Amino acid sequence: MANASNIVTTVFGPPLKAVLEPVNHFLAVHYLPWSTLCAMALFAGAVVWVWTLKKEYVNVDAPRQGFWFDLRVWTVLCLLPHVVVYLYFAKWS
Amino acid sequence: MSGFNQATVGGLSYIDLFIIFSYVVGVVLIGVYYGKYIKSASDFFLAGRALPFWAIGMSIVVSDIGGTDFLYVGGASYTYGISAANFDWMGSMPAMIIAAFIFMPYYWRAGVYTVPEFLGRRYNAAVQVIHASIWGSITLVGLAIIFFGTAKFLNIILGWNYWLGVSVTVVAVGLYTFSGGLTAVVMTDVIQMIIMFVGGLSLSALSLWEVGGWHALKDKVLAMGPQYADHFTILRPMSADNPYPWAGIVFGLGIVLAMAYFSGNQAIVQRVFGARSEWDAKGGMLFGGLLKFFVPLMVALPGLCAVVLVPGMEKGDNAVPAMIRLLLPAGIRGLTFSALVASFLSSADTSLSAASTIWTTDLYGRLHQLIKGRYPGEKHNLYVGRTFTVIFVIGAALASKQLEEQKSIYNFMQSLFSMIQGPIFAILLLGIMWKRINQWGGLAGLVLGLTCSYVLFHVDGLFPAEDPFLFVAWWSFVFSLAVTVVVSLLTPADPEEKTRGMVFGQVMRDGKIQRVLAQRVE
Repeated sequence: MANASNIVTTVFGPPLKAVLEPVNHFLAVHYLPWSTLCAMALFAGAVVWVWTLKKEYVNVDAPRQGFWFDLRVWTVLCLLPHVVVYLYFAKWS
Repeated sequence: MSGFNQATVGGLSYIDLFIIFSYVVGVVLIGVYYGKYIKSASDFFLAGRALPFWAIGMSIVVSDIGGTDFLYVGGASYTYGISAANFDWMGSMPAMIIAAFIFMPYYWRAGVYTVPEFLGRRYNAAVQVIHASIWGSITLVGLAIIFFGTAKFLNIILGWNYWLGVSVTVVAVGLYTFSGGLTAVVMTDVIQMIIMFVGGLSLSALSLWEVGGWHALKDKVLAMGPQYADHFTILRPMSADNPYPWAGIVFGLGIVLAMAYFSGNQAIVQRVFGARSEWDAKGGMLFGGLLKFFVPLMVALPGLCAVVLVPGMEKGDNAVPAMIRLLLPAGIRGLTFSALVASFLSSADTSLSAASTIWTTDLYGRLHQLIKGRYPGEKHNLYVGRTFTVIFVIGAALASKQLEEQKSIYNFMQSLFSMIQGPIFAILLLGIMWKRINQWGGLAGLVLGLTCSYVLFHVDGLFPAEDPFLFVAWWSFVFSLAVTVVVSLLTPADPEEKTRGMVFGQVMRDGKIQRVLAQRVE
C-alpha cells in the first residue's frame, strides 16, 4: 500500500503541483473581501436563478394558489437567515 | 422523590434514565405501529408516496445531523470557532435549492426508487452498478460507524459494555425499520427532530445565559488569547493549520459536497421520492434548508460557550457532553441525552433503509434481470428488502468493533465521501443538463474521476490543509466534468429515445414529453 502511494506521488506529484500551486497562491492572496463576496454570490445566485424559472414549473401540484404557497417566496425566506449570518460573521479587511 | 433524582452512572439521575428509556421504547413502538400499512415494496421503500412536505423536511434534517455531528461539530466549534457552522450553513441552503428545483422534479417525474436507477436509465447498466456498489458499501460502512459511536456514547452515559450498547441499538432500529420501512423511519424522525431541537436549543439557551449573553461570549473568547482571534470569523484564510479554508468551504463544500449530498445521496433523496406530490417534494427540501439554519445554534453554540465555561479541554469533542453535565438540571439532562440518542438512531435507520433499498433494487434487481430476464415483482422485492435489512443490521453491528483501530472515524468518513462525491455529482449534473452527454462519457467521467480522487488524496502537499477533503472534492468534480464532456463529444451521441424526458430543458418546455413521463410514473 505504501509502495502504491509512493508511485502515485512520484508520477503525479510534480505535474499536479505545477498546476495547483499557482491556484492555491491566488486564492490565498485574494482572501479578503473575496471570500465573503463568493459566498454571497452563491446565495444570491441561487435566489435569482429560482426567480428565472417559470412559476408553473416551480409550483406544480401546489395545494393552493397564493403568496404563501409560492415556493419562490419560500426560497427567499429560507435563504435570508443564512445571508444574515454570513454578513454578520464576515471579515472584510 | 429525592431518591428518584439521585445521581447514577454517568452523573444521570433516575428521572433522566426514565426519560431516555421511555423515549427509546416509545420510538420503537411507533415505528412498529406503521408496519400495518406496509403492503408492497412501494410502501416499504417509498412510504406509499404519501409524505407531506413538513415530514420530509424534518426527516431530512434529523437524518443529516447524526450524533457524531453533535459531538464533533460541537468539538470543532470549541477548537476552531464559528467556522465549523459552515457545514450546516454553506453546506445546506444553496445545495437544497438546486436539489429542489433541478434534481427532485426529475427523479420525481421519472418515477425511480434510487439515484443509481436514474443513472442506469440516463447512462447504462455499468454506471448504475458502479454507483450502487459504491453507495451501497459506503452506506454500510456508515451504519457500522453509527453503531460504533452509539455504543461508545451509551458506554459513557450509562456504563454499558460495547456489545450491550450495540445490541440494544440494533434491536431498536432493526425492529422498526424492518416492520415499518420508510414511513416508520420518517415518522420516528419527526419525533426525534422535535426532541433534538428542544434538547439542543435548551442547552444553547442555558449555555448563553451562563456565559452572560452573546456579547459577553464574544468579549470573553476574544480576550483569551491570539489563538482565538478567528473564533468568530465564518470564512477563514487559506493556511495549513486551518481545517476549513475559505476556498475549500465555498467551492468544495458549497458547490460540490453539499450539492452531491442533497442531490445524489440515497438516504436523503429517498425521503423526497416518498412525497405525496412534486410540490411537497420541493417544499420539503426548502423547509429542511430552513431547519438546517438552526442546527449550528444547538450544536456549535454550546461548543463556543464551552471555551469560556470549560477551558483547556484536551479533546474538543468532549465539550458538548461536558456542557450537558455542567448546565442542565435532572429531567432536561435526560431529554438532551435522549436528543443525542435520537440523533444516533435516526442516522442508523436512515443508513439501514437506504442500504437495503440500493442493494434490493439496483444490485439484486439487476442480477435478477440478468439471470431471469426481468426485474423481481413487488412482493418479491419487499421480501428481499426485509432480508437485506436483517443481514445489514447484524453485519454492520459485528463489523463496527473493527473501527476502534481507526484513529479518527470522522475524518475517515469525510475522506470516503469526498473521494466519491465529486465524480458522481459531475455525471449527475451533466446527465440532466446536457442532452449530448452520452453513456460512454458518463462511464469515463465516473471511473476516471474516482481515480483522480484517489491520486489527489495520496500525493502529499498539494493543498494548504492538513486534511484536504474539501479540495479533493472540488478538483475531482472539475476533472470529471472535463472527462465526461470530452469523451461524450468524441463518441457517437445516444439515440433520441434514450435521452427523451431525461434532460432539464425538455421537461421544462416540452408538454408532449411531460405527458409521456406522467404516464410512465403512473
